[in-house]
Amino acid sequence: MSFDTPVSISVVVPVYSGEAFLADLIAQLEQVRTGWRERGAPMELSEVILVDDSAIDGSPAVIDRLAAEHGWVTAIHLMRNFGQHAATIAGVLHSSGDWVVTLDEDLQHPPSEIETLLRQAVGAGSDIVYAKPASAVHEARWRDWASRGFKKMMVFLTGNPNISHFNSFRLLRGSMARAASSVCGYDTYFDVALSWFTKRIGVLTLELKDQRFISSGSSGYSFRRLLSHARRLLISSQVKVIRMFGLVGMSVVGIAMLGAIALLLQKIISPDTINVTGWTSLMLAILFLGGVIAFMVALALEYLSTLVQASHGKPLFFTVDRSIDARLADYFRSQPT
Amino acid sequence: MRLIVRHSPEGDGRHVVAVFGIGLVGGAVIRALRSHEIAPAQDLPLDWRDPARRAADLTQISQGIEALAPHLGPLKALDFVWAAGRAGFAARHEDVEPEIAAFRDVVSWTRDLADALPDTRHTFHMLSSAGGLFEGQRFIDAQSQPRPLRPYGEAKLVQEGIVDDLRTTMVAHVYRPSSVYGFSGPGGRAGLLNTLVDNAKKHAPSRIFGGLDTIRDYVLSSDIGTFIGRRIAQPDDVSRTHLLASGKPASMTQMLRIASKVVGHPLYLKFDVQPSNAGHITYRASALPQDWRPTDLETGIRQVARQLSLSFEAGARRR
Repeated sequence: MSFDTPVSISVVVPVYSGEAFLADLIAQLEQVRTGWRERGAPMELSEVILVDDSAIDGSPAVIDRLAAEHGWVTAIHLMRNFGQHAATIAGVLHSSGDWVVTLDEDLQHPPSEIETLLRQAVGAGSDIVYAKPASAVHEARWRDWASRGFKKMMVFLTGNPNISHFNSFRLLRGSMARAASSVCGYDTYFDVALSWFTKRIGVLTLELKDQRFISSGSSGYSFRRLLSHARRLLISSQVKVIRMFGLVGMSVVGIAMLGAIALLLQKIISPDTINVTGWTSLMLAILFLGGVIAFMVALALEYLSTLVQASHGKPLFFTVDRSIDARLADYFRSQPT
Repeated sequence: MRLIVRHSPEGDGRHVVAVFGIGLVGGAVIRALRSHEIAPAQDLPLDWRDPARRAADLTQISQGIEALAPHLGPLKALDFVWAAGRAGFAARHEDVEPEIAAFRDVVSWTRDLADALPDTRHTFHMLSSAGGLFEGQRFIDAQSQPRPLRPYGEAKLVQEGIVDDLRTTMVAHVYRPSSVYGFSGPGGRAGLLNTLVDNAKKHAPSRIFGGLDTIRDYVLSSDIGTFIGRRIAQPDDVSRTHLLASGKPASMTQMLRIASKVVGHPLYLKFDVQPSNAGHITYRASALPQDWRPTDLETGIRQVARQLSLSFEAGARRR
């Protein structure tokens, strides 16, 4: 990239029922775009990719109209409803920006905060920045508690601390986003795939509200979808529980062996103290074999997990060029926050 | 070059198509027209190096056009398709100069033929290169200005200028395809994909001139053939420049991932540490023609891999 070329930002928006919000969303994004141009900022909002995930309302027509009105808006229509992750991946694979921002259709993710995310990313040298809600997003105690509880449980099961930060409002380094999207299979969790490429993950606390949920009380997330998320998260991740299972198996084997030694010594030193013969040794044998089986099952599952991850496309390596960050970092340093 | 004769779309009479360059794209144009072809095609030579011999070859081509299937009636339409070119992306000035000279001669001959046959509709179709013209640019749209970075792109710009002058005489279309992939027959051009598939089958390493994050836009040669074929079969009376890209950028990672999945073998790769053409080139979907329907990359790669496999098997059987 030549030095006079602005750093390009692509925005990807999966759309399922956004008819009422899309025009406003594009207007806000245009405001950001013209604002940067007028300020002579070294970055440009180069494209907005609206991915119609077989929307259930009049969104497809709105998307086509917006794409016809604005050359920088691209319309993509998916054949059927593939889900938010698949739509996001499709959008990312159509992007060519140096950075890619993904956000929801319903304006709960303010486009004006894209610059804040970018500032955070180049300032900290991050490849991903997730927006973190400063307060309860849904303003409904049970809904926010369920969301937090689910993430905590997933962190425990997978051992991946980043899960607690996963959010659909995210800024991603373009090259990495496209690479991660291209390795994603049907059951791969996009954010888990992203974490295969980088450990430089930042979090930015923002005031985010799900206005649609607050006003209507309905959410796109049902219990069934939550379970589906959990399943995909577990399938995509190296499950920590398997290792714990293996450790338990090994510990049981160790306990059984210690017990066997103790029993042997008792038999040699004071055989008179053994009242019932055979029972303890039988229990120790069962314990030993149970531990061995548990350990071997954990080992087999670990192998299987590695194979699944390889088939999901976990890369051996990936190269990165972060040199474009310096220009943005200089610019942001010169600008008041 | 190849001459094809078909019924004229205007009604009774002949429609001759002269295709210069029967490679990846020229071959695809011929295949697209094959369903309408009504007389055996005729292959004639065109000398690239010697202008005197080239002039003689062009005279022979003129005679060939007149002599082709005269029983079909008068010559109503004549289409010229320029899809020829030997110089690749890495060509030097001395490599592209003979091509520009040959192109100039062909365009001049076309103009003379139009003067000599005033009752015939003449249309010129030129294959340019979006990659050559817009190298290093992203989000290319209708307003983007070509800024070639190497002799190959400069030559394409010169050729487009020559076609622009021709537009005062006849309708002339310029096609700017992005990175073209496809199957052009045994021994045809070995592009990135063909090399990857070929080497994967041989368990040989492939050299990649670009980074893993390099993004390009790939189009299937048969899509271009179909598009140009449609312009020939359903003539347009306005000269246009068509950007033929997919509008969907693909990173090298994605290309390699799909190729590996399709071939079913691991790819052995060797990356050029300082590639000279690692710049991104992408296009906006809004800049593409309305009736242009590019094939999805994975589907296209599967098609090409299958054609290559069949070609390998046929070659092995012959041996």
